[in-house]
Amino acid sequence: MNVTKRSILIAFVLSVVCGLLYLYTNTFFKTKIVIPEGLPTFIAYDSTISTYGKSGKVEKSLTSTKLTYFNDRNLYFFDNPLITSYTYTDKGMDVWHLKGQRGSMLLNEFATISEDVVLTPGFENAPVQKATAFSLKYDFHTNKITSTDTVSIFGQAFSTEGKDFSFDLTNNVLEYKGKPNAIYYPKKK
Amino acid sequence: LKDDTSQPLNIISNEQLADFNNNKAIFVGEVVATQGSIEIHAQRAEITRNNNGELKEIIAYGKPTTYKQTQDNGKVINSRSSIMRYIPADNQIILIGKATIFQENSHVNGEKIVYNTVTKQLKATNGNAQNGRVQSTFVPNELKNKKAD
Repeated sequence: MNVTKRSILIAFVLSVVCGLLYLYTNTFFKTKIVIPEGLPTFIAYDSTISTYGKSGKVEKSLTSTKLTYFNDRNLYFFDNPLITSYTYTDKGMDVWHLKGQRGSMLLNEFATISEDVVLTPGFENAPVQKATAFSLKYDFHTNKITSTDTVSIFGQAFSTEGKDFSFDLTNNVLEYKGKPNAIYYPKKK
Repeated sequence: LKDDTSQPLNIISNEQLADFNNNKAIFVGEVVATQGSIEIHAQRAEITRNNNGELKEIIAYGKPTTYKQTQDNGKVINSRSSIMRYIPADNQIILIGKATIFQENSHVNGEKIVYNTVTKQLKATNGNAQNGRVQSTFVPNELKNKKAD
């Protein structure tokens, strides 16, 4: 057998051995990467998460300086979160910004934001120009923002403060069920 | 008072619903609205504003709805009715349903009373009740003051 044939044969035998070795290790020595309980799946810094509707338009985006994700609970925690909600209407697009110091989100369910929470509009002639609270919850299904804390809202020539607050971003209807105090300011002469 | 309508309007209630698309706010449960010396108590109140955000009208419902205002002469005028409409731009109060407006011992009753808070003019009608006749009582010293005016 000349040298060429012998080297081809050796190469073939070695390939078969490698294949067998790969199969062997893959079946008997499969190591499953298990993340110890309580540790985050990943941590991201200065990141943005966006969700899109069927029409391909962005519906929500969530930016934060630090994002911690726990896959086993489908749960995110944020530092300095800024949630932006986009509601498309026949008149155009209503954009709302909701920001605070801490936040958490159950993917596709709801997000809560706490500590120095401020809600502001990103479009003109918004009915509410600012809302402040200690904490607010944003339900992705109902597109409503709610809070059991005291929420103060400031609008065009009026302000209101009260508890048990809810604001429907789809049809611009706001409700207080906890002793609200509304003030309407007269036109400046 | 003359400058009541240029004061902020403050409203407390058990619940509030604001429909911004229609510039309307509804207050429900132990509603107390104050503006300067004006004070309105009701079970429910609806506030409508114009597109500039200015107060257009308040409609208050109660059992009864009450209204109180101090006049420039220091006297207090009161009213009671089932429904009360307050239209600041026209300085007008419209009382509907078992309406009574009274100041000290003088009072006017009727099914509907329209009162102008600036000119102090008052028009009462009774519709079909009491054959459409209105009942008014003026205590004598008010009559003298009336002649002096």
